[in-house]
Amino acid sequence: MQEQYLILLLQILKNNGGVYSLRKAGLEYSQIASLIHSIEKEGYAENKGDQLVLTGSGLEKLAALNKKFGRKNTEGWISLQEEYRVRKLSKDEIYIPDKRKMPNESR
Amino acid sequence: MKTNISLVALEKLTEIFNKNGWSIEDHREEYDRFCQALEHFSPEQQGLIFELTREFLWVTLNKYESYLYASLFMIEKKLLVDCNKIYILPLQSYPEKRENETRNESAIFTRYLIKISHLSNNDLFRGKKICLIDSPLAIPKDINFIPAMLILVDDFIGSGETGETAVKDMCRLAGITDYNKILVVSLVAQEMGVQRLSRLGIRVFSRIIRKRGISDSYLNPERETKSRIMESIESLIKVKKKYNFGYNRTEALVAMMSRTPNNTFPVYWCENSMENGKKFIAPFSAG
Repeated sequence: MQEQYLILLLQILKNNGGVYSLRKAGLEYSQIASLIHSIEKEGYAENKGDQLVLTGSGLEKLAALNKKFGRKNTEGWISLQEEYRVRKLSKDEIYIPDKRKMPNESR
Repeated sequence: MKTNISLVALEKLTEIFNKNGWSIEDHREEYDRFCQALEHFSPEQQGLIFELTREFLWVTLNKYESYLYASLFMIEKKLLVDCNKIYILPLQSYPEKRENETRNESAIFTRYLIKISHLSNNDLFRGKKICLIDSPLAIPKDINFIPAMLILVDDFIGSGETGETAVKDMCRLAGITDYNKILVVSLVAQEMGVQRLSRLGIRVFSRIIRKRGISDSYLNPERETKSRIMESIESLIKVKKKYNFGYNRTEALVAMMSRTPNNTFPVYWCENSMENGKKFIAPFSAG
């Protein structure tokens, strides 16, 4: 399992989030289903009726991954949305976002 | 890419796929399409789809042969004991003019399966001449007076409308005066279709007979609640009136190989543009 997706899923579970971020990261639903299966098998999460929740070992794993990737503070519980990252600009450049690529709510 | 699907919903769908024997590994495409369909629905609507999907029968190609044998061997021995010839043809409409004929590919395929099988080795058919034909015109003129039987085959019987037309067309073209000469065999059949044909005196043999997904499966007030939820689903995906709850309101939960009969609830096969202009992707392909 790719750790970037694992960390994202563990964060989602910790914050009761939906599958949106994983879809946005390019995963198909069937791949997300495999991820869920893996983390349950590893004991990182369990199904509590109508909710999937992180177990103690899941929280430990998340902490370990945050440490491994040097994620601190907000980054420890929110992943960067890589799809919105832009190339570093020089101080003489002006960045104008492509309106067509902007999310609807930002227009 | 907004989605209403929760992680628990995905887990539930995975559990249903596994329970139904549809491994996600082998059915990734259907799983993804299923989820894309679920994206449009509320948790209540998703809940109904989950419940119905638990009862969904998907007959894949590898099951066809065993289902066919199981259905054929349901024919009572006494019905064939006095005949020495059996004509087998696809269950489809046979209009007066051959050019108006609509080919029922699945019925033709089912008859082909019989062609490549070894029916004569079985007790039921031993010693009888089996003639595979594709038109009632190939039936001999003296059929009413010789010890022969006719078997019409298909893979699925829904509301029984096609079955009724097929039998009537065949009798008209071949001059058959007695429905006792005819047997209908189908891999899977809806109870509703079997009853319709039985009322006409036509005997149907099918290994799997299915009830209506909501009307025969819940008692009131639950039945009314589920029907109301299904109506809201069908309104959202703009299902045509004649297909509401499946053609002739058959309420089937069946897919055969890669096609889904239109008797099945349309949410499983009907791909339409919705109110919001988005295209609805159904989990299975239409027939």
